[in-house]
Amino acid sequence: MKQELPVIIGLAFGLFIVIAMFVGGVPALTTGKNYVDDWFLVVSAWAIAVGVVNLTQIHGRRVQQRREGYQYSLWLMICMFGMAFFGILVAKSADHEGWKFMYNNLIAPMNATVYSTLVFYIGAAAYRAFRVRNVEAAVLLVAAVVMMLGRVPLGTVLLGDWIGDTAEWILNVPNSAGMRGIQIGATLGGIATALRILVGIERAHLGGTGD
Amino acid sequence: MTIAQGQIFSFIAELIYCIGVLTMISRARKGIKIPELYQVPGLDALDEAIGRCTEMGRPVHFSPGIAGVDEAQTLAGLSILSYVARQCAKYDTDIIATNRRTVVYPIAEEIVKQAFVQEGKIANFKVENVRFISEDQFAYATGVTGIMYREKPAANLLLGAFWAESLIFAEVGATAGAIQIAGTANTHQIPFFVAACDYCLIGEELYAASAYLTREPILMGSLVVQDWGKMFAAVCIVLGVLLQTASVSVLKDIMGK
Amino acid sequence: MWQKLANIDRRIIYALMILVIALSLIKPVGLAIVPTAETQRVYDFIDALPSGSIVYLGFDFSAGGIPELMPAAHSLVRQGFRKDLRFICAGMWVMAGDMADTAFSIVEEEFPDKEYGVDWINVGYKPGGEVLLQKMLSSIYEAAVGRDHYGNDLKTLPLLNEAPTIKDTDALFIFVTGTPGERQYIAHVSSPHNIPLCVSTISVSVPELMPLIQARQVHAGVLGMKGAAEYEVLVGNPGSATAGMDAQSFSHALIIVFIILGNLGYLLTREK
Repeated sequence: MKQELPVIIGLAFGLFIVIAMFVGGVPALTTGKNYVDDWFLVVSAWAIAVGVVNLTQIHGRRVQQRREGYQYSLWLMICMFGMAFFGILVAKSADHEGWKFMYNNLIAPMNATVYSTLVFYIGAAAYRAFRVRNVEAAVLLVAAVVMMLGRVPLGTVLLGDWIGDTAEWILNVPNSAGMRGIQIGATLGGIATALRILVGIERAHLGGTGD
Repeated sequence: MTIAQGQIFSFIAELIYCIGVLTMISRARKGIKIPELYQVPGLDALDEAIGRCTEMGRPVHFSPGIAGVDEAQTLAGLSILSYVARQCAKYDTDIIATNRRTVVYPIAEEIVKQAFVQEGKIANFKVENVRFISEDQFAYATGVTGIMYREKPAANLLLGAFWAESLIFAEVGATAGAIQIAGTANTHQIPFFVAACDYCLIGEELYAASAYLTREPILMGSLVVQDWGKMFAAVCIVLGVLLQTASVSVLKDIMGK
Repeated sequence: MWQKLANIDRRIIYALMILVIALSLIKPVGLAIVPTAETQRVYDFIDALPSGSIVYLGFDFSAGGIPELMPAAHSLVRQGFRKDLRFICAGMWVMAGDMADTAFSIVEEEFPDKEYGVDWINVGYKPGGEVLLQKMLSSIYEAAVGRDHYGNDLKTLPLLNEAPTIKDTDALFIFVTGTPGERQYIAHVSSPHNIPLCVSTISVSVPELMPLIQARQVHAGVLGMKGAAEYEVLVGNPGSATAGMDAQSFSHALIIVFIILGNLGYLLTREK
């Protein structure tokens, strides 16, 4: 029963949402779907509390037991609770100067910094991966070089317009063809997976192993 | 009661597809033979990766991606987590499962816990090894990077929906010397995984994983219909190109309904 | 010797990348940027909208996307306000409100006659992902639980009375780096309700966007920093994207050099 009930609830709500997506002109469906949407919003918003509890448990224990690197855990909790209390009790609005300051000078730059580290990873991965091991790898290498030069002004300056045109062609023809092929397969796979989960055949996500 | 404008074709197509999936599952239940699956090296390598961790006495790192439970890739990733966690429990290997979404985290925890229960090794289950890191994409990426450097897992399994963090994970995993198996249906991230990981599951292979790993006929049955679906799509594409070239818009009109 | 070329320490690659990018940003060469047909189509589309049209702006990205997407957002605000377009901003990503705030930070100086609530609204981030879009189809006010990003009552903002739902807007222009993103807008808003959709995305997402542009599910796209730089040129305000193209050019060239070195090392040691 521990696994049956979630499957039954999932099936009922899943089918309801699918029907409400496709069928029009039934006010009860629209109203019902609005209710379900609201519940999803409420659950999503509250789920953050689960995460806070987990972080507190893990890092609190680490601090309590003075494990290696416990200072970082302490810092994490100070930041997490500090930001939350400041937002809820002091700032109360995103327009608050202090909140804006923290956002502009802490969150935004840190976020951008991590994202920008990708440039190093891309450089290192390209150096490691693009080796002429066989014909396929050679094709990949040539396409990568054409794309890298064709999508920046330096390519046109050094080699002329043809490099940009070739890059556009790679993007529009072979790339789009490959993307579509993978996407069609993935979409069909996604629908089949959703259906298997909906009817309870695949229930590994419930901690079981299926039928 | 009407089907919404512009949705009629997709409604009928999806309905037929779903009926096909359910029919094949029902046939499989009755014991009718299901065709063999082709080899997926990435999935075959899962046991090898876990075995490597066992030999080296180092943990497995698993990420089900950064999307929520409303994304089928996440659910496919969680299905693979169930298998990986059972293997880890069987061979007394630690598994660190990191999560970005608070909604996904309790599900992942329950999956890992149940895997240890099913293997009769609940005493080995470490609740602190299933971790919620952060809802923020790059804070999660940073957290995983830290785990890779500090705890040095010998296997890095990235199976689910990934975006910009994919290459960060894969490169950090390579630096840590982990065997890496990645899979996603996010087409723009596949090149990164192909370039930086040892094995890569491309698109639909991720969704086929639970059927492939468990070899359950009723799960495998639905894969057959996926292939039919692809064939139908291929026929529509060829037919569509020919008809449009001949300025006949009948297929386009039907699909637009 | 050749073996070394095949196994260059990644720290050397990182250090040279920093050097090349920093030098290009500090001392730009000013390589010429010629707008492509795709960016031109975005520009022409906005240009063709009648004065007073309401455009929904989706800020579905976080701070990491700023270098590639914010220049396009600034260019759009400039082009739009010069044509007296009006904007309703919202987003499914946590930083949506802050991103919109940054995008419109140029208004005070460049368009002093434009007024918040009349010419633009920043609804901000609201949770729920694509469910938020579905709810905005029936009421932006209800989807936003009555408040904008700054805590104002949305009923006090006149622009929302003219477009109480997302269906009442004349066009959608979204800035995306991932999911939820363009696919959710296509599935729930632009395709079912025939509202033209333009997308500005980061370079890494361009290959995935191309099939949607070809199928015209996306009307036109600002493709990565290159597209943003072209848009800046078209609007006549070259900015950070234009400057960034030098850095991108030389970093690409450096990667190609490393690829060549790696292959030289690989081929010569393999033959041995």
